[in-house]
Amino acid sequence: MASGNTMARFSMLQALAPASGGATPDERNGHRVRDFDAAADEICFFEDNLPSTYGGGGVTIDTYWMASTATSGDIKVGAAYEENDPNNVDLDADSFGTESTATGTANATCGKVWKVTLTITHANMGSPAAGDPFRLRIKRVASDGADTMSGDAELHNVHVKET
Amino acid sequence: MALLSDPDRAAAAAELMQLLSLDREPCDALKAEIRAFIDATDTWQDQNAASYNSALPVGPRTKMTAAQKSRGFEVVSKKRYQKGA
Repeated sequence: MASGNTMARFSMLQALAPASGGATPDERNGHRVRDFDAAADEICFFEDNLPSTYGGGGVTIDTYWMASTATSGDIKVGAAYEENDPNNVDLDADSFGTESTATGTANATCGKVWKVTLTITHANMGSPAAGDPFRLRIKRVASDGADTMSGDAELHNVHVKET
Repeated sequence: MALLSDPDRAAAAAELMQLLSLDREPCDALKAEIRAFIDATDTWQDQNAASYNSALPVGPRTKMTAAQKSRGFEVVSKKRYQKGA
């Protein structure tokens, strides 16, 4: 697969939450979002299969956010990949690879979407094969000092591309 | 009553941010500034508790507990907020 080609797209209808510490489902003018708290780290998951055309280049993940209330400040986003290859990984335990992080700045209008882009190397993905199932974890690292934005950060959608 | 503890102030800041988020009420203050607001408000309430108590009519001043007066203060503040004060 060529660099930049879409591998997966996720709306918040596909978001999955953990037993605790999960971003909460919400709706904004008919748009489904997931609210990530400002005072504690929260996460959500997405599941899919790597396309059969994945070429081993790692992934670039565009995450699209809105602020519930803020018109300034930064959020720190984390992304981690869990390879769920058949007959190998025990899904009863988490096995995410090294988390990548990036920060993004809120738009001056709290209803406007802004993008935070992260990259995960093929190695940190667990060196998956094309077609393998996977789980993607998106986190707001609210506990980090670089996360300065007050109020919830609302994840609107996620676009995964080959790097 | 003594000043709120650091964890209690952090919880108050988190609660305020949640309330603003639920209402999607635009606010330009950063997280640290929200926390500074909470700290200053707690300090002001602590420093002015005696003055506030003295301003109350003698009836409620003597018959209501400190916790009940705090709750009443919250009710009035909330109503003023709702009315756009």
